Amino acid sequence: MTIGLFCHYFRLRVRERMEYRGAFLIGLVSQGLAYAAGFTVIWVLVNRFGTLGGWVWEEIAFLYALNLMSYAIGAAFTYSQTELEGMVQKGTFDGILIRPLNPYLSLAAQQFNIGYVGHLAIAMSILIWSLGNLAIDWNVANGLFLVLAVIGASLIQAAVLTLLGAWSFTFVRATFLFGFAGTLQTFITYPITIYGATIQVILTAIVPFAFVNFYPASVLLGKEGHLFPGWIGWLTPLVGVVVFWGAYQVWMRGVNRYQGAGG
Amino acid sequence: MNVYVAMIGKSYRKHLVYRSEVWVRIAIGVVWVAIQVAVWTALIGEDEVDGISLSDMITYSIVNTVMALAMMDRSLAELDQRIRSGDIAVDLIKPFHYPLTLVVDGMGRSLFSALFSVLPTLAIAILFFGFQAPASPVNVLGFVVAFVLALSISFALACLVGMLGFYFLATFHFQWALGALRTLFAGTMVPLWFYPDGLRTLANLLPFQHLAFGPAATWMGELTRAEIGRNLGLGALWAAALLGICWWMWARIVRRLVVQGG
Repeated sequence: MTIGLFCHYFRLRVRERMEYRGAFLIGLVSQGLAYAAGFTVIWVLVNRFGTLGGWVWEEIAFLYALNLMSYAIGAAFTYSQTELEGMVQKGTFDGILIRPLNPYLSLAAQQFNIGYVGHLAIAMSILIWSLGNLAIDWNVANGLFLVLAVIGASLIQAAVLTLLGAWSFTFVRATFLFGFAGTLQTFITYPITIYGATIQVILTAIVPFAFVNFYPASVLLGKEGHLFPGWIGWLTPLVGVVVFWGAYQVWMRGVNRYQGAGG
Repeated sequence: MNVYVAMIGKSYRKHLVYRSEVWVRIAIGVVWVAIQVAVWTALIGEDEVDGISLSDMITYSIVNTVMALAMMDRSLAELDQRIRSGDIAVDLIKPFHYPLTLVVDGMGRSLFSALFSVLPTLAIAILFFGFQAPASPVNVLGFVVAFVLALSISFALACLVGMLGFYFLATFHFQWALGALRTLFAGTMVPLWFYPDGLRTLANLLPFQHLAFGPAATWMGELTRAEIGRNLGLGALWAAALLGICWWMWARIVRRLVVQGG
């Protein structure tokens, strides 16, 4: 029942978005341009100096691809959290509460953002290119690990957006925090070993963005010698599940205490 | 005229409502600087690259972050919504020159962000990371002029994209495309002297370098006086041309505007 309903809402949402195909495609192209520009600037930087913190360009590109891909997957379902503030203010969130489906899943399906296929395509291209240029000794174990790590990383990205969305229930205003989360995310554009110990600890233990790309990449690329042992990268899928579960609990608690605002 | 001065005050007070969120903007600015300082420390360290030292790059990052905070201008981003909803009709009925009210609104906002986010960010960044004083009074003067030109060009570009809303349903894709060009060619993060030749040549042909690279390099004394002069001249030409196009487009649009809905 739950899965069926989720898929039904999901299908309706995709059909709704596909109604304006031209606008959708232009959106994809312009977003692609924006990411290509950001990526090119990082290329200019690393290309000029050869390596950054001991990481060569292909490895930095791999970090970029993992970050963008997990963000695309995680945010496609949870980007609606950024609109929660408006929904709470206008009272339209109450509509979600009367659906015959768990409100979190309702929101995820009903506000699913298919625009992230553009991000996904860019991330995929960079991932395939970088993997083709990196000497990784592939076997079943690390192949499976890469897939699980991407899922774990997506869960971490989703968890951060979910937690910020939960903020809307209590404090109504939340938009300004999303900008800050985005800024924190730029930390992991680069290998975190270039930062001081405090920032590394924060990115590992408090806002675990380092598990999105740095730790899983370290495992696959055989990087060692940072603040934390290299093997913690293997924990990425677990970290993803735990962090997302925690964020979901906080969110549901927020919904249960939600009294409505305005409307 | 008095009306417009009063509008600056109104816009300033409007933004004052958000002062509780100011710490986030300061935090964003400080984090930006911290990331760039870490990157440049890893890349340059104790050495010099092309005569550029770490302390040069820290100054470059701080100047650019502060300028970016001052230019974070969203007042034109909502223009397409006002056009779609028909609110634009009400804006046009008012006895003011509408584009000028947008400028004035931006000034109030800038005043607010100067006091509540730009100056605190600058102070914190200087305290943590250090900062080079400008090379000479000429550089300070050049920087001030270059910064005013940067604000004008930034406004004109945002205005042009905003006015596309009269022709298209939404303008957010154009904003993204504009953002992409700025990211690539303004030199906000990586100064143009580290760019490969092809990209550098392209950047020199476009107005975006006057938004970030030009003012920052002027401040740092990395340019000779002749180069500063040429840069400011080019920047002024770009600013005049872009503002001129805005003005011309606006005059055309207002004459043929048909508002639906509202």
